Amino acid sequence: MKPATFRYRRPETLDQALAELGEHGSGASVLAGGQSLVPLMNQRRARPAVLVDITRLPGLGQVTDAPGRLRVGALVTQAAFERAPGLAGRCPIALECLPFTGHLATRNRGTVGGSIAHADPRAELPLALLVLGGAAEVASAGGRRTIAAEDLFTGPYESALRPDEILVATAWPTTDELPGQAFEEVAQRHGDYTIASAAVALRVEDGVVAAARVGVGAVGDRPLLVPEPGAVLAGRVVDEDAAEAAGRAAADAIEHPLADIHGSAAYRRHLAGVLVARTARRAWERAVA
Amino acid sequence: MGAGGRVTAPGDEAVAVEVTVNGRRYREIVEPRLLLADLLRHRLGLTGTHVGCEHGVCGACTVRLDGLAVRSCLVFAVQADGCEVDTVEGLAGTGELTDLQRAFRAHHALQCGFCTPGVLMATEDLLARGEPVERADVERLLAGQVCRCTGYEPIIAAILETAESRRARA
Amino acid sequence: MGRALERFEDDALLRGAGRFLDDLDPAPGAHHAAVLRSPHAHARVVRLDATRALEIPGVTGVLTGAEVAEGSRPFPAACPTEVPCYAAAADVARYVGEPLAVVVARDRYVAEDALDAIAVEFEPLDVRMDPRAVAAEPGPSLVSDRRFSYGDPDAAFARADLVVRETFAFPRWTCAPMECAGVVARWDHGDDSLTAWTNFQGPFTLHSVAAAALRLPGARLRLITPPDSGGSFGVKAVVYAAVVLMGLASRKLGVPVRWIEDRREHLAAGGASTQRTTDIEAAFAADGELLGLRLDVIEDVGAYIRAPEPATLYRMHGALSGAYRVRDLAVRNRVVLTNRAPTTLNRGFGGPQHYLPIEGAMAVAARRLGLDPADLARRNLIGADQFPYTTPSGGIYASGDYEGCLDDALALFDHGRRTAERDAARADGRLVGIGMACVVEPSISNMGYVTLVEPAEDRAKALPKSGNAEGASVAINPNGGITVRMSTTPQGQGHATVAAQVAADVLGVTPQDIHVVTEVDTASSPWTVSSGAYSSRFSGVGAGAVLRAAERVAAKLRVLAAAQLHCEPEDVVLADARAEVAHDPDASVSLRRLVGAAHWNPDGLPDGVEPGLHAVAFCAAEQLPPPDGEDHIVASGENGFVVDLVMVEVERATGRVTVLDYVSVHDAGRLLNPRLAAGQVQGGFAHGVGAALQERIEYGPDGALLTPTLKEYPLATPLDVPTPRTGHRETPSPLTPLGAKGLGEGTTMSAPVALQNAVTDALGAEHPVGLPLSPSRVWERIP
Repeated sequence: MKPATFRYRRPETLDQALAELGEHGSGASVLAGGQSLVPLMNQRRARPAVLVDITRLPGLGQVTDAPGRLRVGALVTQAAFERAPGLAGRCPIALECLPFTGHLATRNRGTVGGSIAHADPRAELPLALLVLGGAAEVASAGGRRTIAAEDLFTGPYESALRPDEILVATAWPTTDELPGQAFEEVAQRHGDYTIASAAVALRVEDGVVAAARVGVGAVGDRPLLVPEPGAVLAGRVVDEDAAEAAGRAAADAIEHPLADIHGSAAYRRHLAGVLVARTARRAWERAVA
Repeated sequence: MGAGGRVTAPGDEAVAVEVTVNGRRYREIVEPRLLLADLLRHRLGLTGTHVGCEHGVCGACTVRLDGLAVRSCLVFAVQADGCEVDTVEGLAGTGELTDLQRAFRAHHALQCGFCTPGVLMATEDLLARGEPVERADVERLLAGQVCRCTGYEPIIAAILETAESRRARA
Repeated sequence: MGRALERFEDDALLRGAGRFLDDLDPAPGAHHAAVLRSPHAHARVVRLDATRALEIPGVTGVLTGAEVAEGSRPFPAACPTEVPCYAAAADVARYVGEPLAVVVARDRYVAEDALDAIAVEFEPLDVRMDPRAVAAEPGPSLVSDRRFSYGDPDAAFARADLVVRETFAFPRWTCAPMECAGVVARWDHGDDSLTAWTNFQGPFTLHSVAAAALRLPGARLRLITPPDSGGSFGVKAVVYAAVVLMGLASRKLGVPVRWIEDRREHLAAGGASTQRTTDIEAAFAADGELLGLRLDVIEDVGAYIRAPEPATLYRMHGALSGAYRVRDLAVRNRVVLTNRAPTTLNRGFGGPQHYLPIEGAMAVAARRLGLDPADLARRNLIGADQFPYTTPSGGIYASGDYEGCLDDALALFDHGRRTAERDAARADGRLVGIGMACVVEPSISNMGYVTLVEPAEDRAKALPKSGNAEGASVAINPNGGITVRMSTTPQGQGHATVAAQVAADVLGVTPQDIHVVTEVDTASSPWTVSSGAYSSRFSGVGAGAVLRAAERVAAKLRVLAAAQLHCEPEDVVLADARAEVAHDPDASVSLRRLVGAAHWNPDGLPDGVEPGLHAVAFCAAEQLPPPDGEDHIVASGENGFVVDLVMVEVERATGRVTVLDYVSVHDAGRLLNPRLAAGQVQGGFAHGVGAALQERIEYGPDGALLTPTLKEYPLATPLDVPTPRTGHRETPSPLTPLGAKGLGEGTTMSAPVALQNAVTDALGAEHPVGLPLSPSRVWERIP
């Protein structure tokens, strides 16, 4: 399986990169780690006329600590993110979901920005960012804008980025805001086809849940933020009963679960509920620890 | 950016690439779409790196790019411009097998040998980190390096033994 | 022999110096092929227009399906069919992935560009995907409907206290070797012959099939295999079809053509196992005696009956009754065509499909009769004093100790304790179960078994087929080097190492002194129609041929030594690279001197002794005649035995199956190299587990392939494959030269049904839980 021909551009500055996109519009694709894009190109399911390789752009490869959030440059690889010092304390949900993201060799090259921009409905990082209430920082020739995670994933492999925009960083709210975080998934095969996933991030005040954000992945056409289980958990101690209630609420709230050879709709709905219950419980335990 | 070569020009299809493979420098003119795996195998004659799927799942094509294990089927050769690539041929070179390779032989950790180069290169990346290596780490590594012959157990044994002996020597 | 020698093959493979097909450039200047494939499961090809493709710079030419139909014959099939199979489709495509045309270009990238430029107009046709619906009505898609009866099954059922009736479906799956298929084809217009380098794995009966399709006399089709092959497990048997396709492309375009299958092609059209539906009725007495079996089998071979099918169906015909004493059987075998890719050999090769219903029914019966499955098995196993045992359908089990193996397995598994653990876990509300399987593992296929697809009166009209033979040569060259040549096309099984061990023992040297050539060249290798690596035949006839050839050379060395040492040849012992007189070690001569005499001084040879030291030998498995007039067949030259026991837990919330313990005990006769034996058991087990838990080639109701890449076809990882604890018991084969039985498919046959039985037990289900045991499917069966 060999890719179709393309013109290759490797700009040295962000402005040059944006100019390329501006010139070629939707005929151009951004190439970062390539772990999502190149398989599609090899299968000729993606055929960009122009490939803009941004991997050598300076200034996009840092993880910076900012108040209440980690700012992750778009070119930070998944492996580098996984090894970011203090990640376990600052953003445990990311650390928990990264080992499920592909394999060692794909994480060495695949970028955090690339995974977010690719918007695979089964991917782990988009779900984690959504549940944390993070955001994407996006640049175009016209300037910069921030897109909240809730507005970022618009469909299967569709994001709110315009063809002339490049994602330059993602912002990951930390345990300062949401100290209780957990992620879990069931995959058909480790590192590959996710059947269902769930993530919870919550804050505890006065011994009960003050705010809880719950999301499920791989059950719909995009990662889903599900308010109902959060409402169930609000004001409560998350014991087994509360966790199960949250799980049931999540399962009931999913309108049209995906059905395919790896899982029926009923199974995905059920599994999503199970995983929400488990992650709610773990997130609580971490928050009160 | 590769030394001395322009990367692109409008209308051009061929690009100059300078890459160091197993310590030897090469300069090739390539189409941008040429996969690194194909550059290594068919242009440079280093056929030790094997192609199993071209969608990044099986891991047979794994090489080290600037020290990091990557899928050479998912990297365009032009992206390796100015980089260092290590392939399986560079492990023993013309000399003795490495400790890892000898452990593979001792444990019968290869049958057909097709997945083996990718496994070796991914393992060298893992071991280079110098961190303690548990069985679970090796299992997760091998989830991305498919073997259809051995059932994995002897590979796990060979890697754990080598990890242990390298840590003991360090 | 018998030592766990490290393999000679490993050094090169570890250095990345293996020589797999795509590493070679045997026809410099070869152009590269890409194959245009049908996106439809069933469609008329109304129009195929390659004009734009031909205009692309770098494109050499295009071979269309219509040209394939004109320039070749359909592949000969084992039974008559109205649906001829060519190397590419001309008028009608019958499965997603079927070749429609071949583009040849200066490289694969350009060839794929040209694929995009070929315009095809299709008229979709009705798709038939349900094997049972196809089997229900006569028509071209019901290719064969044969009934067999042995003993008196009706009487057996009439006296039964319990009849178990169940349906089992074994899914289509592929062992998916890491290296895909490949062909470099060079048509020689000078003598109208084709030379093809290809990682074909045999059996070489398929060489004749390819030659017939190409309208070539066999001698004009030269197949050459590369030194290394990246796994096959049966799948690369059907690369002969690509040899024909690329041969035709080379003939038309006048250039050598190189085609390397990619993974997507491999999953779509590279060949997978058959899927088999079996309605089984098993009659039992109240004390557990298995009285009779009725099997109604529907075998889906894909869109065409293409050689070597229906071999998968008939491979097990000698072992229909498995490990049990039951004598009364009725079998109905129907072979059907559906709009799926044509099938191929795949590890286990009919065994997994056969034991799923047999051992599955035994598990159901045990539950219904209130017996432990091990006790039910023991009640029915062929007794140690009954060997050699002839099965009702003609199979011969020459030796064995089935009960001993069962005892070993139960002990290794600690059956009493495990059972107690299971019961305690159940009391705790956990879904824990135990399953077992007893499997007779045939090896060394009788090439005549596939003729059973034809009734006896039709068989009588054709040339009989039988046997399984292998060839080898052993030579001591003028420079003193010892070379063994064989035709078993290994793909990692370590044949070269074992062959060296065998020859070394005979010649009195060390294995390191032996150079083994495993590449096959049909122009010059010692090969037979049954050559290749399949049905675990190597340790029988493969090593046997090496042994015979080595013995012939050794015999000559003894004659030469006797002349020099003034004794009788039978008094000469070969050891330590010398020839010595027995009981008189001072009287000896080095091998080097003997070799020198044979090559450098032919005039000094004893009368009647030819110069040189080179012997070719062929070893045929004993007693593998064609089927008789009553449909009895010694389907396999030897039969090993495997007992598996497994304990699993099903996670109630997710349906995930975790193996808590897996034990597998084998009797494979004499083990030629214990390390390699363990590798085969482990590898076969991994394939069986993959098939049981997750690996299934899936099609939608419209024939679309739902598992086109490795993202959808989940290959087992170490996190999915547990480590079995294994044991061996050796009852040597009295039939093979080295006493070995085949080993390499047993756990692929036993693991799927053992796991099915364990999960069924864990769920307390009345009816077996079907394969694959994926989380979703298991979850749906949790009560």
